Amino acid sequence: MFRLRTGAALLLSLATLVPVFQAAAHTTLESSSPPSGATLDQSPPVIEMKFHHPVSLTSVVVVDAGKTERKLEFAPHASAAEFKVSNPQLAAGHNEIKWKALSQDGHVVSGSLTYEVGAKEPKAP
Amino acid sequence: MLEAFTALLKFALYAGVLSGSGAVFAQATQDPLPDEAGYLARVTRFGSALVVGACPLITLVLILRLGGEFDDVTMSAVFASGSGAALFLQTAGALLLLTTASDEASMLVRLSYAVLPVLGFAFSGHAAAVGPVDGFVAVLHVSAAAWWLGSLLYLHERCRHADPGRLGNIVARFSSIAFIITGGLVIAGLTLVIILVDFSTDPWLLPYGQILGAKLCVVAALLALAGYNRQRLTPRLLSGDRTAVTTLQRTIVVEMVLIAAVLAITAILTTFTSPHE
Repeated sequence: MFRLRTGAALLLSLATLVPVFQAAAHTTLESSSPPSGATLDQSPPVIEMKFHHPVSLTSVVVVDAGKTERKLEFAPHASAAEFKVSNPQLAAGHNEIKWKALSQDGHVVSGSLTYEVGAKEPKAP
Repeated sequence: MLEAFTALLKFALYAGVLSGSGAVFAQATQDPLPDEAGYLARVTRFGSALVVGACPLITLVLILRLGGEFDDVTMSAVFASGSGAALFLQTAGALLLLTTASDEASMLVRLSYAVLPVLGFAFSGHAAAVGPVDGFVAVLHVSAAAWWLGSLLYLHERCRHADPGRLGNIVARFSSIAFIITGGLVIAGLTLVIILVDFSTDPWLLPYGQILGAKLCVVAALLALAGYNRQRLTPRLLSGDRTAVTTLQRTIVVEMVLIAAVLAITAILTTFTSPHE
């Protein structure tokens, strides 16, 4: 009975501690080209992602302004610090590119890049 | 939600590795009598079953956290990685221990099986990501912790069943080995702190540093209690004081609760934070 109570108390303690650390996100993406937040005239031929440490990228998807989600191809399919997403074919308007990866220390890391595609309307004189 | 579940599974994995392998380490060093070894075999089976149950679930949750795709890219990232190697070693070692837990004739073989789950920590985790030597320090740290937990479980069980004379022998043997192994545990642990923590950036302000600080506080309390057992209780026990048995039994329970707290904090530390942030 004592063991059961102790076990239950430990599990409860763990469960109450968990939400405190939910916000401790990992920020491993060092830079991207084009940089996140850029406004582009047209979809870039390639998006380059550079990480602080080698990771295994597992998923890259783009969500366009119409909330349509599409998987993007990337390379290499191995542990690396730099990845290329070729011909992402970003739609006009707002695009969010969401990525997920496994870092070397076993952590799942994720993040997103945003791009505005399409020339702005010239201002009336 | 999946991260919280991962932390819970890691807690189960750590408890399983430490008790399963630790019971074998304890059996190899504490020299239990044949009728006493049965309890350690049961602990080995229980711990190994916990590892065998936790590893596939950890893998499944990891795949779900990576996007839930069972494609080549995700499978290769999970299995052809340090995490995959660690999960393989832990599962294989635990399965081998399960099949040989009560085999009295092959201590050396069981010892080699018990090393496998512990060896997993050389391939996955914060220290393993720094380099192979650092991963090896983590293995030493976990091995010493496993021996400690396995030996405490054995000691606690003997407090209930052994006669005072036999218990005195067991405690004396435990104390002499524990002094060396807990010393190794502390040295390996502090080495890992020095390896992992960047002291130039005020680490105690970051989540990793704060949770690590909490872990070190619990470890300090644990070591203080172990010191009390060695300095005060063991001499009383050896002089034939019967009340010391009950006190020892209680302090061992407190030690095991503190070890469980350390494992819970470590599970949170390794799931939600990273020294490499």
